[in-house]
Amino acid sequence: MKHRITLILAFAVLLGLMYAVRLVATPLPQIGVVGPYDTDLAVIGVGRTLGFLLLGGWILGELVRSFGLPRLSGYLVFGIVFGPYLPEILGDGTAPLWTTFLPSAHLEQLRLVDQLAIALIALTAGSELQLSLLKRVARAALAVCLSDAFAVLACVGGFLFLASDHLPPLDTVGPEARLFLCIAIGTLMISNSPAVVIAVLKETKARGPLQELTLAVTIAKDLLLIVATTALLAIGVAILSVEGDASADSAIWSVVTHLLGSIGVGAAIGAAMSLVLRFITIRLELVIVGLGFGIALLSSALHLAPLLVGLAAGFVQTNLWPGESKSFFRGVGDLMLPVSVVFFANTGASVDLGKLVVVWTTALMIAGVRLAAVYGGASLGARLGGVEPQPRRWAWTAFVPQAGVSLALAREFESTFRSFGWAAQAYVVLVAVIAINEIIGPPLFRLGLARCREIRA
Amino acid sequence: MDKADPPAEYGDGAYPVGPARSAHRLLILIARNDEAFDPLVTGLLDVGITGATVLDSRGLNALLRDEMPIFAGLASLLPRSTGAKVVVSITTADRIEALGRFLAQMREDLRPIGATLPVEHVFGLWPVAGTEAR
Amino acid sequence: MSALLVAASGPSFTDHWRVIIAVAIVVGVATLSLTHTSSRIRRHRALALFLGSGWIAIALGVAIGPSGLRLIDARTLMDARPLAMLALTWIGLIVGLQLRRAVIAAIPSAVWRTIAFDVLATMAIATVGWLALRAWIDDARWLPFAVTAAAGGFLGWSPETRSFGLRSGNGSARTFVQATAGLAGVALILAVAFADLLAPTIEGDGLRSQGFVAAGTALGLLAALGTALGARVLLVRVQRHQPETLVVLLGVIALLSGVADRLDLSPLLIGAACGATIANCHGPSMRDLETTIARAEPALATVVFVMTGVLLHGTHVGIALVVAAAIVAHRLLVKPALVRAALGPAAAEIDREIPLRGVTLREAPLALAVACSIVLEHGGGSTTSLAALAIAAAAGVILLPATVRAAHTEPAP
Repeated sequence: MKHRITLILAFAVLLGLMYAVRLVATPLPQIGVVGPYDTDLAVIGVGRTLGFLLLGGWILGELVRSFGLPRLSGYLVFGIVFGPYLPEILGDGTAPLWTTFLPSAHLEQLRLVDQLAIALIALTAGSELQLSLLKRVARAALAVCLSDAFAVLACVGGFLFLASDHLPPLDTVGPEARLFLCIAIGTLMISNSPAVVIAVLKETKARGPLQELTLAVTIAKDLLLIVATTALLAIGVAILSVEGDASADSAIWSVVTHLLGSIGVGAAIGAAMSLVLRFITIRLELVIVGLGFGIALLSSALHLAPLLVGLAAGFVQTNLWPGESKSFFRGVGDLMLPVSVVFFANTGASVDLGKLVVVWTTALMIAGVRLAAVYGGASLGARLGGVEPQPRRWAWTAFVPQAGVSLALAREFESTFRSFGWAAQAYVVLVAVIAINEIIGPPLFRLGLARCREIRA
Repeated sequence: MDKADPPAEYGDGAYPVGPARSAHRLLILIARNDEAFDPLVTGLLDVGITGATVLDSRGLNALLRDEMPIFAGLASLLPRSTGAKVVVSITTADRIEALGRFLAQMREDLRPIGATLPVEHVFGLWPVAGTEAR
Repeated sequence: MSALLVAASGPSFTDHWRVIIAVAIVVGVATLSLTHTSSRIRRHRALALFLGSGWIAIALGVAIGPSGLRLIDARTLMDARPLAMLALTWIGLIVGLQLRRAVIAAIPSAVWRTIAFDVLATMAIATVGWLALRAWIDDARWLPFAVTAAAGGFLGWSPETRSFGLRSGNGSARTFVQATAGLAGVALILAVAFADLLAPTIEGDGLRSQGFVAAGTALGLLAALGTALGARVLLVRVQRHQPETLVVLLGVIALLSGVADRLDLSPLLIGAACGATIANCHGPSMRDLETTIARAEPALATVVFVMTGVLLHGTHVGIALVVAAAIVAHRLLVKPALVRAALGPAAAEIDREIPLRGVTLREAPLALAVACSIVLEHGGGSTTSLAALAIAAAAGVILLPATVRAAHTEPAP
């Protein structure tokens, strides 16, 4: 109790400070800065926003943790409550003052941390993938991955098709587009969040069959989605006659280069890092930050998937040079906390509450169907894969959370089919469903780990 | 452990010198600060290591920082010690094992850095702590 | 296919490309400065002198900056500004951490006297300089700040003593040189805050009234105090594991740098206030925080030196050379006499261990940090002041060996 009161008081002091600074500071446009370096007003005080995200998100994370919830939920809720979208549902003039504490321009600047977060999450996931673990869980992981994917696609797609006469925007489109849209939304709903899974596993220091299965399935799903979404977009472009140069051949080729390229570059980075780490033994934090941005930069330049690159790098390092990489991954673990706080708080702040409010009934229905499908699909897959009874019962909880990857897929979907009126509406629905899964996912997964008695922190 | 041999070969009893038993070890532990040192002392006493030498010390990094200040020079007025302490003791292997079990239960950030070495000869200390009661 | 690329990299990634490259270079060089190899190299007497002054990093800054390869241009610099503010706040923390009650009580009277003489002399020079320039340059809002930045070059000296051949230990000369340099750093940061308070009235600036600056300064100091105490409470509650310490430390530094930026205050002042509070809070959690903060000193010095090089753009070289010459002349001719006057008979004793003229010759690296913060906040002619400081720092390094040799051959005073 004393712990909670301390945290609440600390949070109140932080809010008071933010408020006081707002009160005393001159309105931004009046500060004309500076001689030869015309400073963009958007960057003035970014540090304050970063500090507020870090301290506020972390305090709220600790607070929700004291109630048995994952800290991650605290970071997300912090972002949602203090983010720029709250005024949209409260209406102008009634929004509380705190909604200005995290200006959109600053949050956009801090998206830079996302690159680091993705790289660190991927490196961590890769480092957890011991060869022995893969051998142990390969069959179960494959069964759960395929069963879950098929169940979600069939249930969500089927539900949408059956209800399409009553659900906007499906009710307004022709039969071909309707069928495609149902399959597309169904496919996008398969994705779950590697970031959330890794963050919850790290936070709880979970060890056991569920943790191993979750890790392997999450990575298998990521590979599956690369293939599935590429195929989906290519098919959609073909059947809906979208202007573009996509063809089946080029789609297959790009999948192959994307997958093999990412894994190859990642493996090379992992090997290079192991070599470099023989010479650098101190201040690993800086090396890790450099590597994180390096992975993002290289992936962008070579059109690779940073998640896969980091995964392969971590995998190669931990399996081929375990001795050299031990202190490195301990350093990654230390850095994960501040990076996760900023990443998830910022993710929370980007939850578009306005859109969620508009389509909440449709979104809630889809989320409900997805939840049921994930439960059925994952449980069936776990049974087929020979998973022990307790983790089999709770395996589904790991595949509920959705976040950044799902959002980006939705965004890509919307931009590919922008010429159709339904694309924007479908995007709104997708974002709303993802927002719901983002909020309910982490506590569910933590509950699953707790029930399997795998939590060690 | 066997009863300790008398130091016949080297000493005359006033300054005891003798060959160490094979089970004797030199124990060196470094506690990073006072907070880490306090439970360590408790642990030493609990496992029966009642004799040890404690030295105030500082890490190489702290020394380098003070040696070449860039922005802050006032630290040169501070006492040289940073709160780190080195514990040196000669004891027996079974007590070291017991100490190992104790250290494993300590909070991770308080655990000392340490090493043990086999001992060839012991000077000025006889019987070696741990052998007298057997 | 780009779906997955976007999935992991975000939509605005390309906008940040340049910042990432710039940060990668600075982080890479800063990392090198933290390796044991770097520590080993700096133990060599001559290399301690050359590397300690940071001229290599300054040259690197110039090379990658707008005056060189333009890898970092004005826009990149603008985007990286929050990081620069963060680094300066961190340096402020390091300076503030010195101000432990026990340390202040242990400062010898000779150090206080030397600082008093030094501050008075610097104030006199700054006032004369300001009056002269004011007659020459009309209505420049940046003038008081440029003068303050240049004045930093006259105050204090470098605390590095290894290049005089002094070994580790507690020699009285070494203690005097380092303690005086440390206290001068605090005086410099306070002087800048004082100038900041006076500047709006002097310039009749309508935008930043004196009341606003005073209220902002008070709030900034309160924020520094509050965050330091808050950090203590929080770290005690979470049993201070390394990741939590890192979150609190980064959070506090980021918050304070942003507050300073938003309230138009010196990040060094706010950082120093927070550092002083942390230093006087007892408890192991605060000691951990202190160690983590202080460990980054060489890396931050490198960042400041690179930043100095990058900011050296659009300067008036002629004026910079004149000011640099004035700084070097003051340090070679006037300052040794001031120190001797302050120390009395004790001066000879110190002179035997370290030639005072050599000590006073080298500018404090903190002066560059202060000037960088002024350039980032106020711009204008402050860039020329920064250039003057960089030139004077380089001149100090070049002249030191000859100065020390001369001091050893001339008869004792």
